[in-house]
Amino acid sequence: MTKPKSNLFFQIDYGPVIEPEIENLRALIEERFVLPEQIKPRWLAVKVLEGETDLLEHILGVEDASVVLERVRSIRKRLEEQVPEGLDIAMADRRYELVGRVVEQSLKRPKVLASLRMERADRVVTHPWLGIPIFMMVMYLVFSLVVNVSEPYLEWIDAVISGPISSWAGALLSSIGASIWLRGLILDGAIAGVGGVLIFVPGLVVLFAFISLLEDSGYLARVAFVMNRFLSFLGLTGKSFVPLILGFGCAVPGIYATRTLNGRRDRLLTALLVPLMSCSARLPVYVVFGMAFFGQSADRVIWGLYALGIATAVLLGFFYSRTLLRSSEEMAFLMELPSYRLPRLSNLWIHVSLRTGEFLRNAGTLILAASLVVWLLLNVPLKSSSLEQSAFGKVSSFVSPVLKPAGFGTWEASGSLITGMVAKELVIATMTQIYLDEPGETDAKSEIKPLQDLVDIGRGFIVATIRAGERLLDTFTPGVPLFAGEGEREEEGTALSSVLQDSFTPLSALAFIVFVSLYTPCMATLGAIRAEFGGWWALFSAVSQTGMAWLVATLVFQLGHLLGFA
Amino acid sequence: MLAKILAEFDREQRPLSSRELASTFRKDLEVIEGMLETLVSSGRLVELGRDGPCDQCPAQGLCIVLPLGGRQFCLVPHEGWELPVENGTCWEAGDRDSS
Repeated sequence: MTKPKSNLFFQIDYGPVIEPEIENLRALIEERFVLPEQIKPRWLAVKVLEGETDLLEHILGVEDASVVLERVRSIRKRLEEQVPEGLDIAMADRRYELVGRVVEQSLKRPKVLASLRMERADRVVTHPWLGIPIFMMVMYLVFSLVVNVSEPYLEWIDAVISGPISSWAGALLSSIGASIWLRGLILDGAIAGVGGVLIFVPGLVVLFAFISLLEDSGYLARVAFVMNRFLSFLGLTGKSFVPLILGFGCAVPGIYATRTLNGRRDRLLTALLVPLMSCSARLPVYVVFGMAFFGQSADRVIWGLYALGIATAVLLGFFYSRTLLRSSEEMAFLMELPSYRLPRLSNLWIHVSLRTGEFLRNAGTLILAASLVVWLLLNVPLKSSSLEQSAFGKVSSFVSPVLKPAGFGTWEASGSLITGMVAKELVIATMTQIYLDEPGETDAKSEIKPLQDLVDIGRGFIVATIRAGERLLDTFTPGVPLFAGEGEREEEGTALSSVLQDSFTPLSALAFIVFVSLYTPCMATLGAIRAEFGGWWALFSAVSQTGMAWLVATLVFQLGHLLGFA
Repeated sequence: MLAKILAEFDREQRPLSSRELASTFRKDLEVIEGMLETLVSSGRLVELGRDGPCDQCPAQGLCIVLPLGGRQFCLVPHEGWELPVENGTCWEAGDRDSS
């Protein structure tokens, strides 16, 4: 172990005006007083000149300090004229200069694109006409990657949860002599419900990673700039883009981010539009239906749903800004564009882990609790012959006729949409419970082989990783399937995807996901709107969005029907 | 550099963001923010909108507002210069609305 060098010494040069005065003061202190060993006279002189007189009194005592302070006063008076910015500022400036030089010599900077190249890039991505199409293309690429890259992992987790994990839990419950209802609650309620949602974690990780990359690279700030022109159409500024883009992750921070806007009208209008940006909780619904009904076009359908949300927000914003929420003044939008940067892995990790952690926390609390409640309602009364006769089935059947014109007027779809009002993740959690768990199926579980299961899980992960790599390459070569044929792709999907094909047609499935993309915000979002703008606006948001979702889904289904689609 | 920053505030006569100043002086944002903090502690500047209440905001680390806008500073109030009232914090938006 090496000892630190005690004689390592450097001295800041405070310049020709201040330095001689420091030296005078140092000499005075050194001549007149004996200081404790650890206090250097020059350091004390600098501190006193900067105005820290208490320090001097503390070290020398009040009487001795007064001798020095008298000299300090005369020095400061002399320097006042020569250092107009103030002695403390001038001295701090010298220290910053030294720090700047040290940093310059020792810091290895992350790569920043040369300003000329940056200007050229900005000319393209912030172009008045090209900016928005470029943004749409970037988002399309992101959603293609989300669907294609995450799908193999999604199927892998689905197989792990419905296979080994369910078997292990079943065996554990048998070993402790759990009753049938407890087995049902844990296996069909908790594991099926929460597991049905957890399988989408890979998709969300990929989505959060790409959003983080766009943010960290400086591109999202440019999109806000481009959107300024677009949003001014609604009487908003580019500043509103920030809450809107947050809405793609979760609407709740988006609603609170409206606080950065000027004026209640801008804040309210933006808050009413934020829930129309498809949040990450809706993504599992899109992916399940996309995989079940649209095969290789799933990524385009999902991108279309995101675009539908944006288009609806524009139309609604246009309508509101000319009726309920008229704008009285034009606001300027000032924003500093950050430099383009190569995204840092540490930032990527922070963003992805924060957002994924939030999703997992939600799965472990709200979704778990709601899944258990849904399971109980699906099994009450105890003697019901089918799930449709259960309390949950009866309530759902009561609502289902309203949804018939939209093509999905079944109690199963209605029930899933009702629970989705609490949190959008519950749409899939409920469907998993309804479609995959029939009553009385929980007892029979085959013998478990933990070692073999672990080998299968590991093998499944490796296969999923290889397939994800293939999909990644396929995404960048559209129209040229390098690895998998179309038929092969269409056979894949989660267990839920396969079951849904018996209950929906492609057209009714499309109408269903259109409805999901637009209908009422979740409870947490409505709570945020209520907290910020009052209960009436929360109610308005819920009712207006649900009404519009019904209208658009019905239009999709009826027009599709007229055009001969099934 | 600190003197140049103060001169910029004098010239502009408006609140300036740390990001704006970092761009003007071609310095790292963190360096400029350190200098601005020194100027705040020496009583030359005040910071606007550095909301302590941000701690209570659900957006927290997900917030991309702060990285875009940067922290806002302005000269301490003196004759001929008053604190701009419209620069409250995010948290105070509701109060701004009601006033």
